[in-house]
Parts: sequence; structure tokens; C-alpha cells
Amino acid sequence: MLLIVWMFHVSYSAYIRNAVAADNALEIRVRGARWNWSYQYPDGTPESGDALYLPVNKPVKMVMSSSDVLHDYFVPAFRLKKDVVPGMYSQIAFTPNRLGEAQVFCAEYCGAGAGPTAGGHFSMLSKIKIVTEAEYEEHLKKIKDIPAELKDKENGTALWGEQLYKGKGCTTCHSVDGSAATGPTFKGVWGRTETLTTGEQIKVDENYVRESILRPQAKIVKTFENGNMPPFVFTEKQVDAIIAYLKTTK
Amino acid sequence: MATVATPGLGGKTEAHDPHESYLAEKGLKSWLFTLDHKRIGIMYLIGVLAAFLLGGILALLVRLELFTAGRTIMTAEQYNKVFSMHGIVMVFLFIIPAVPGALGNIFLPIQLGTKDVAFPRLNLTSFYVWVLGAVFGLYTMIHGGVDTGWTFYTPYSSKFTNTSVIPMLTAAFILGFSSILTGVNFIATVHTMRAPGMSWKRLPLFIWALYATSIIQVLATPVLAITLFLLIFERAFGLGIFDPSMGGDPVLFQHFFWFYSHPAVYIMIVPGMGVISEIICTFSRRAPFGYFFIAMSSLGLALLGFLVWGHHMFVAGMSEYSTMVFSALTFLVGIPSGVKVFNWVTTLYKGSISLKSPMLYALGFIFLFTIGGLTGLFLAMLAVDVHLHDTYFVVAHFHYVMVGGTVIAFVGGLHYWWPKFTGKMYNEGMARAAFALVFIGFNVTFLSQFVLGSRGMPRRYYDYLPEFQSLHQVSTIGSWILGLGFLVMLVMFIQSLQQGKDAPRNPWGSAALEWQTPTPIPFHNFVDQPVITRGPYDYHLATEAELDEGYAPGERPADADD
Amino acid sequence: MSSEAATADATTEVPEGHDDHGHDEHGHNDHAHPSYLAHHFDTPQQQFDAAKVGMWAFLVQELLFFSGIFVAYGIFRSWYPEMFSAAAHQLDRPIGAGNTIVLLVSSLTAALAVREAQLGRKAGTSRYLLLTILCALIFLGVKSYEYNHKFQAGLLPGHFYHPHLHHLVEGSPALPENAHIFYSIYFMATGIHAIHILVGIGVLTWIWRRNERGDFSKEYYAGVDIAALYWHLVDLVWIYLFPLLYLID
Repeated sequence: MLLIVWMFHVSYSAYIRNAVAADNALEIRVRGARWNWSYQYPDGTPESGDALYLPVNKPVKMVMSSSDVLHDYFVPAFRLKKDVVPGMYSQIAFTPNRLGEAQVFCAEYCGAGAGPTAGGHFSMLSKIKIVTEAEYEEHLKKIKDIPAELKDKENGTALWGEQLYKGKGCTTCHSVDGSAATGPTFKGVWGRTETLTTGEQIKVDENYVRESILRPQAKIVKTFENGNMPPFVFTEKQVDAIIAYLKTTK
Repeated sequence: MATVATPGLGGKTEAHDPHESYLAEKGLKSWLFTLDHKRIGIMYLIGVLAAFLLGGILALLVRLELFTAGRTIMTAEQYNKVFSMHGIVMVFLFIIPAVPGALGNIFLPIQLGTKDVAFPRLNLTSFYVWVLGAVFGLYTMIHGGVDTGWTFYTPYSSKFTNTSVIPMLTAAFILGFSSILTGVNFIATVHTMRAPGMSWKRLPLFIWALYATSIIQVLATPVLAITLFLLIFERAFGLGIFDPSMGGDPVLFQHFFWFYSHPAVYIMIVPGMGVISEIICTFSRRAPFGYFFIAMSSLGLALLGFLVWGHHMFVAGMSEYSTMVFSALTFLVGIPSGVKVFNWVTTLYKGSISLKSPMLYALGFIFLFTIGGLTGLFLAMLAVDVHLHDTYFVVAHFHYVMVGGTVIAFVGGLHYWWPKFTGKMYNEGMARAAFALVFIGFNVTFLSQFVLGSRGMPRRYYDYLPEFQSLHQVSTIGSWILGLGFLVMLVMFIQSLQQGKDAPRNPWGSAALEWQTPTPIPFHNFVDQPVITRGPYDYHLATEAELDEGYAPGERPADADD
Repeated sequence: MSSEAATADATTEVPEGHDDHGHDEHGHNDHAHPSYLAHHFDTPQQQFDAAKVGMWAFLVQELLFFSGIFVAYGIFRSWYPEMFSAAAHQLDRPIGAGNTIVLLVSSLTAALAVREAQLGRKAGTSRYLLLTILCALIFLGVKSYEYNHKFQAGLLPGHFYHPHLHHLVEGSPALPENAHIFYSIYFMATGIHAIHILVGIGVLTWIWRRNERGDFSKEYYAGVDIAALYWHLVDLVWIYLFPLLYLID
């Protein structure tokens, strides 16, 4: 009995430490959507779902939300886990104290897409990279803009767009080879005339692409009603890059 | 118990031969329309075994897919359906009705010393309601299955998946009613149908367990029914109660669901504990140590079962205070469970133990259930649960309790009572071989999953990171051994029916009431109305003739004592 | 006991009354049993007790079934109290109150039917059973009138919610956007209750037929008693539903 009381006390104290954040914590927004994670740094800069960079020894608070079903942000290396629930914000707090990399899983079942290449609950992975303060600042600066190695290339913007297409999880639902998936294929998408669920016809142009990324539910192409694409967070430059890329997927 | 064979009340004449076996009448119709609790029990047994076979095949498919990372035999979509169907079939079709529906139906009236359950028609109805639910379930499977997991979490189940969720919810809804009707029937039977002299203090422990289970069934299942009902309407008509985009709350569904489904865990395990109590007393030839405590711990588990649903949701976003309360309450569950294990082990101490196959299963149960229970304490610790929640650790934990506990107890009970209700003995050597395979296979399959889970492998994953591969392969190989064990058992039982020796009245030399009636059981359970003069485990009060195994001279099997 | 052991495998014993293998539940050849006593009971009292215990257990599960709805109601009302109060204004209180009285009367007639059955008065039992059924039908008729009005006004659950302003009660507070949740709960609660009323009508009709056939007597009236118990529960649920849905402010 005493053993039980002791076990309860120890575990509850540890639990509370992860629920309460320090005042000066770095606030990271985490968004779960089938089937990828996306992040936003305190200054609003969006990060691709592949990896989140965090400075070492700085308290972090994660504010998490879901744009479709239940997910769960699970970092085994930190012994941390929290459900990400649509319609509410959940929080976790921690302080990374060692440089390195930590694997992130989704731990609340969220289904799978159709077809062999489609993603699913099992592929909703990400990483947390713990770096030094200086590396963190540098990384922040870098992701706001086109990657240095593409900067001087002739079609650099489109190449950046392709990187974003692959890195943000767009591949889960949109193919570039014309094969069917949860969302319309990007093959020959530019300038195509699509019929919307309302029956209205629309030509795919800069404005339609921009709106579809930032407010996906506004105009849905017929037969893709059940796609439920979540809204994505991109900077203006990134949206431009995606547009440039879509012009090349013929 | 029936130490004095008094003539039936009023010396009435029966409509048919009091010695005639309940199995005597032939013909499909005599089975399908029977109101006899033993025959209904056997139909349940066939039904739940068929469900177990189906669920088992699905389990083997899941393990086979996980043999390699990436695609082995099926796509992610198919995998999601297969593991969902495995859970649904095993939980709703097999494990909930297994012990009460099959073994309970056959032996509850006999152990009470009565002719039938209180409402035979209702009993047959609840069997056919079960069949109807099973038909809905099978229809769903043929129609493409569901991929929501057996928990049907919203909003995935209500808005996102495009599989046949509604027929499956209907199936679970119907099966719930079957379970409620059985519970009502058992409660009324235990209260009003006990034989003369069968006081509450003389109730067999199996009856106490079934009684506690029936209370949970009556109190918890209707909450599941209303939950599934709401979910059906939510999905069909967009009620919005569980939909965050319409002002509803998906976590509310989890509260509703676990308010039933945690007590349901005790619906599954408590009858198994009752079976184990019976087997241990018979094969130690001793009264249980602390009869009162074992009986009351069943009721204690039934009560506590209603207070701890929140521990399924420690990471779901409940307030820190509610998680604290639920964690503390969950630790309390360890107490009645511990009381039971302690009492079983103490009963064994200085008993004259015979290691027949039912006893092997009982010992296996104590071992596996202890592991299952102790890992439950890890999960009750909030900080530890945060890490282990929804990983393979949880998968291993509940398989240790459900398979290592309930299924082992169910199979042990089947071995224990088989001679009585079929009238045939089985091959003891094969039974022990099957036990060895099941026990080894089970541990190989699920011990490795404890390790996987503690290393952070989340559950319900179709694909996994390369570092998890070797443990997954060990687990899959274990599942083959486990499957082989059950196959050997199936062959053994079929062989027993076809060419088994006729069973004597009391092959295990038990003092309990059900072994005092002839084998096979007469239609009215007893030749004369029994009058109970002692408890079921009072070996010191039992006469030589009662404990006699009842073999005809020269028929006693050579290997009986080892 | 020893006699049982001795005869356990005795096949030579001469059986009495070997003519009937019938596995029907009634031992018809049995003179000691009254005709209404099922074979597996020893005494009528035991049979009656079993039926009562069984019915009470069933009623407990019914209560828990409804409790799910009540909990959902409680939670959403505590989240959105103004919405509930505004939405409840659209329900017709006088009609609801009238219906409550109809159900209360039906409970009374059900109780009187039991009383008549206990006294062995067949005609009186039938009369009160029919009155109870009549009340149930009136209740359903009024309920369908109310439903019809809600359909016209578009006050429907979930996605189907699209209020037509000209159909709403005059001078009522404006309906908040999420009022559909109230109507979801309203329709689920009253709908499930109406299904129970329908089942009750079926049960009462069956009991009435059995009474007409002369199945019941002063000694055996369990069927009437149990049907009345069920009916009281249905009534009781409504007594909670009515203030919770209609009378909040």
C-alpha cells in the first residue's frame, strides 16, 4: 500500500513538471494533419514537417492543434506524449538538455490513405533537432528564404517549390505522374480547367493555387469532396515558389 | 452438497426419464429451438469458438504483415481494416460472451442446484441476438470492413473514414443487448433460483464471479449502447455532438466509450478469475484460502471498474486534476487483483496438488495475469504512462490480461468441465502439449512487445523504423507457435468427441456440486432436487462416495496419477 | 448423495413416464404444478420473485441507457447555457405540459390495471390496460404534431438545422448559431423515449390479449405487474425530460 502511494506521488510530480511551462519558454505551434506534422516558430516562421530545430537548454512550450482527426505527438526520447485534438489546444513543456536528434511519432490512430504510395498513421513521423543557440538562429534565417544553393540557379524558385512539395507532405495526396490519390494530381495542373463541387468552372491560376494552399476548403474540385485537406502555413515567398513549381509539372 | 438425496418437492413425477442425458434428443430443430440452458450454452460455445478462430486468423495476418518493415502481404488500408476487425471480433464476439455465455450458461444453474436459468426463453433470445449481431459483423466484413480500430474514436469514425462504420456500430449495439439480457437473467437466477440450503456463503466462487460480471453488464453496457447509438446518428445525420467544428467535443466520446469499455474489461476478466478459483480448489483438494475475500474482491473489481475509465485518457487532454484522481483510483484496482492472486497462491500451499491439464492452465493464468497486472501498475503511474501510452507496451499489457488471463482461463475451464458436459475424456498428453505450445508461444509473442513498447514503438503502425524489426520478427514467430498450440488443442477436442472414452461422473474427484450429478448431465440437471448441506469446497465434509471418481472397475486410466 | 453416485451410470433403472421426450418448458403432465408455472420453478412465489428481480435489473439498465443522454445534456448545457435557454423557448410548453399529464394519467391507469389483476377482475384489468394504451397513443399523436412543427421551422439536429424565422415563436430570443446541438439532444432524447413508448404499446397490447385469453388470475398476474413497471419507467423518464428540455430559462 505504501509502495502504491509512493509510486503515485513520484509519477504525479513528474507528470506535472511536463504540464507546466516556464514563463520564458519558447512557444512552438504544432499542427497535426493527416499525415504530417507542421511547426511554426515563435516569430511566425513556418517549418517543414521533417524536422523542428530547437536550441539546447532553453525551456520549450508546444501548443498543439489538429485540423482533422485526433493525433498524438509522441517523442520517446523525451518520454513525452500528448493527444492533439481538433477543436482545442493541448500543451507540453520540456527543456532539451543535450544536442542531438529525437524521433517523433504520431501515437493516436488516424487512418491511412488509399493506394500503395499514400501515407498513413504509420508515416506521420518527424524529428526534433537539438542544436546550439547560434545554429538555431541561423536555421531560422535560412528557412525564411530560398536555400543558398538554389539562389543563383536559373529555375531556383521552382526547385525550391519542389523541395517544399516533397518536404511538406503534399506528396501524400497529390501525385505528379497523373496517378489517382486523395487529391487532384499536379500533372498538367497549371492552366487546367477544373469543375468545382458547386458546379462552377475554374481555371487553375496563381490566385486559385494560393487560396487552395491557405484555405483549402474554399473551392474543392469535384470528386475530391472527402479529401479534407488541412490549411498549410507558408510564407509569401514559399507560396511563390510552389506556384513556380506547379508551372513546371507538365 | 447433495448429501441427502431427498425426493423432489412434492414427489412429483417428471415428464421424462430423470436420468436421460440432455444430449439424448437428436435433430437440428431440437437444438435450434431448445430452451435448455446447457444446449444454449453449447451453441454459444460453438459460436464463440468460431469467432475466436476468425479473430485468431486476423491476428496471425496482422503479425505476418509486421514480419518485415514496409509492405509484406497487404496495403496500409487493408492492414488498418484487419487489425480493427481483429479487435472488434475478439472483444465483442468472443471474449465478452465466452465465459458467461458458454461455460456460465452450462454450469451456473447446475452449480446453484437448479433446473434452469430463471428465464429460459430470454436466454435463447440473447443467444439469437448474439447471432444477429454476428451476422451484422460478418456482413460488414464482407462489405469491406471498418478501419477505425475497435474504439471507434471520433471524429475519425464519424466524419473521415469511408468504410462501413454504421453496420459495424449496429452489430456492436446488438451484441451489447445480448450481453445485457444474459446479465439480467443471471442476476435473477442467482437471487431466486438457489437450491434449498444453497446460502450466499455456500455459493461457488464461479457464481460470485458471474454475479459480479452480470452487475457490470447491466450497469455498463447500456452506456455503450447509447454511445454507439449517438455515434450512428452522428455519422448518419451529422448531429454534431462529437464534432468540434460544430461545437461538439470528440473527447466526450472517449469519456462515454471508456465509461463502458473499462468496466467491460472486468466483464472479460472476472468470470475467468471465477473459473480459476474453481480449478485451483479442485486440483488442490482444498477449500480456498479466504473464500470471503475472493468473493468480495470480484464485487470490488466490479465497483472499482466504474471509477477508472479516465486512465485510458491520461494524454487525451483532461485536466491535471482529473488525471490525478484517475491515477490514484487506478492504483486501487491493484488491491482486489492482488488479494485474488495472494489467495490462490495460499490455497495451493499445502494442498494436495495434481497437475492435470486444467491445473496447468490455472497456474499459467496466475503467472501471466500477475505479469499483466503488474505492468498495469506501471501504466497507472502518470509519468510512465505518458511514455508508454498507445505503444506496444499497452498492447502487450492488455494481451497479457485478456489472452494470458481470460483466454487461458476460458480454455482451462473448457478442459476442466469438458468431461462433464460432453461426457467424453480427452487425450491428456495432447492437452499438455497444447498447453506448452500456447504458453511458450504466448510469452514469445508478447514479452517482445513489452520491449518494443518501452523503446517507443507506437501501436497500430503498418510500417516501422528499421531498429524495431528484429523484435517484431520474434513476436511474429511467437504468434505462429501460439497458433499451432490452439490448432493442437482443436484437434484434441475433435478427437475426444469422436473417439474419446466415456467420462466418469467425477474424473477430478471434486467436491463441488456439478460433479455430483451423473455424466452426461441429465436433462433436468439432477436426478432429484439436491439439498445443499455443505459448501462446494468442504473437502473435510465430503463423503468418500462424493469424491470418488466414479470409474467403473478396471476403467481407471493408467496415467491418472502423475 | 450416495444414491446419485450409485445411479450415475445405471442404465438398467426402469424409468417412469418414458412416453414424453418433449423438451418444451412446461411440464404439462405435471399435476403438482399449476399450469402457469414453468417447469424449472418450484413454487409460484419463486417464479414471481424471479420475474420481479429480472425486471428491476432490466429497469436499471434502461435508466443507465438514458443516463448517457442526460450526461450529454448536462455537459452541453453547462458549456452553452444561453444557447440552451434560447433554444428551449422554441418548444411548446403548454403542449408539453399537457402531454406530461397524459402520461401521468396513463401511469395511474397502469397501476389500476395491476390492482384489478390482483383482485382477479379480468374485465377491469382489460379496461385499464386499454385506457393506458389510449393515453400512449394520444401522447404519440401530440408528439408527432410537435415534431411536425419543428420540421417546418427547420429546428432539426446537426446538419439539418436551418431555422425559418417566420415559423419561430414570436418574441423569443434570437437563436445562437450552435443551437443545432440543443435540437440534436432534443430529438435524440425524445426520439429514444418515443421508441420506448412504441415498445410499451406493443407490450401492453400483448398483455391485454393474454388477459382476454384468461391467462391471468388472482394467483398469477406477474405479466401485468411487469408491464406496468416498464410503463412507470417510461413515464419517469419523461418526467425528467420535460423540465430539462421545456422549462429551463
